[in-house]
Amino acid sequence: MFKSIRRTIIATVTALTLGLGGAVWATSAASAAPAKVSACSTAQLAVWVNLSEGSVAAGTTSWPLDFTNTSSHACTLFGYPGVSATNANGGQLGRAAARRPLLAAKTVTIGAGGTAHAYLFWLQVLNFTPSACKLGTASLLKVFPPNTRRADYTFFSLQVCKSTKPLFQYLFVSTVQPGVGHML
Amino acid sequence: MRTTIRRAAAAVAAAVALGTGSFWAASAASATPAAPAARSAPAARPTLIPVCTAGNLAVWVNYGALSGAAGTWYYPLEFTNTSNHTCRTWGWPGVSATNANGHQLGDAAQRNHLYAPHWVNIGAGATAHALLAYGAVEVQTSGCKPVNASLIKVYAPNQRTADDGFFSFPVCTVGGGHVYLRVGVIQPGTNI
Repeated sequence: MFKSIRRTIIATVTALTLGLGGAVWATSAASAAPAKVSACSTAQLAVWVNLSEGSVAAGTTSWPLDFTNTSSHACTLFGYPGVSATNANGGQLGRAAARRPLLAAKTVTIGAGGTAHAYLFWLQVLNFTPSACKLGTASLLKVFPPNTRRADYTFFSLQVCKSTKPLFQYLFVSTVQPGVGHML
Repeated sequence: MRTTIRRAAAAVAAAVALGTGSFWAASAASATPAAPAARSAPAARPTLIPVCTAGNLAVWVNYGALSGAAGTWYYPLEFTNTSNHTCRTWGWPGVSATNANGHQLGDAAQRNHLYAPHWVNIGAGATAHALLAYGAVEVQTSGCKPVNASLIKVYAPNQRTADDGFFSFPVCTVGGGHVYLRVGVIQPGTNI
């Protein structure tokens, strides 16, 4: 009995993972029994900024902020991550990212080894008056995956405003979406 | 005929993509007939899979997956296939740290020979890794005039275009004998 449940779970998870891969596997995914996939914990995920898929428009650069499931089972994310830039010691620099309601929130399943993405928007802070913005350089990005209380860190070496005044809101973030992120 | 070949290629690519992670290899083997993937797997012909280009890949240092001791820190240097098809790669990437303008800082990474190179298939949306060693003690104590890097510049094996990732650690600016990065061959999966 136990073994058969295990098999079912494995087959289901496999089917879900395959479902992320491409249309070829859509038919095999359809035959799987619906599974209860739990929400992703911080420890299951690695977060990173995809510099290869950046684009610039009107002084704002956007990159995919990717969430890779480094665990051995599928999990789900829903909504906005919590994002801020920090120095090398994790001290926050300026304002945390504001939410940009570009894409509707949805439940996103990330298979083992798979990736989902949000978008990170960074304003070119050199367009501000440097002394008012309190120009600095970040080392890390601190990211709380949606609905988690522990953050992941990733490298982030860009200039930032250390001022916390609303005018110097230099980071924005979107909801999490399925799949690896591509250029906006 | 053409359709058949295309279908076969797609099935092979998908089957091989499954083979990239040991977890999935095991589950495919134990799968019941409910999972058709298990039966298409033996038809795999890896020669149909194209080599990963710089444009297929995104490169990043998995900062959260630190391990190591005695002044050397180990991270997975991750290669995510952002294309919509499986690709394959073999061997050592070319790695260096740069400033924000892309200028190399100090020596490029040396090759680490802990693991032998082999072909690794990376499915669409999947990730492979190489072991990246950062010599913190070398940077801090050898008098190599450290500054904070901004980027890590990575040539995937046999590619002439590099991909960049963020990398903000202190690095040496004096080259010639101050090796502070070492990199291993690309291996399947996200974790060291």
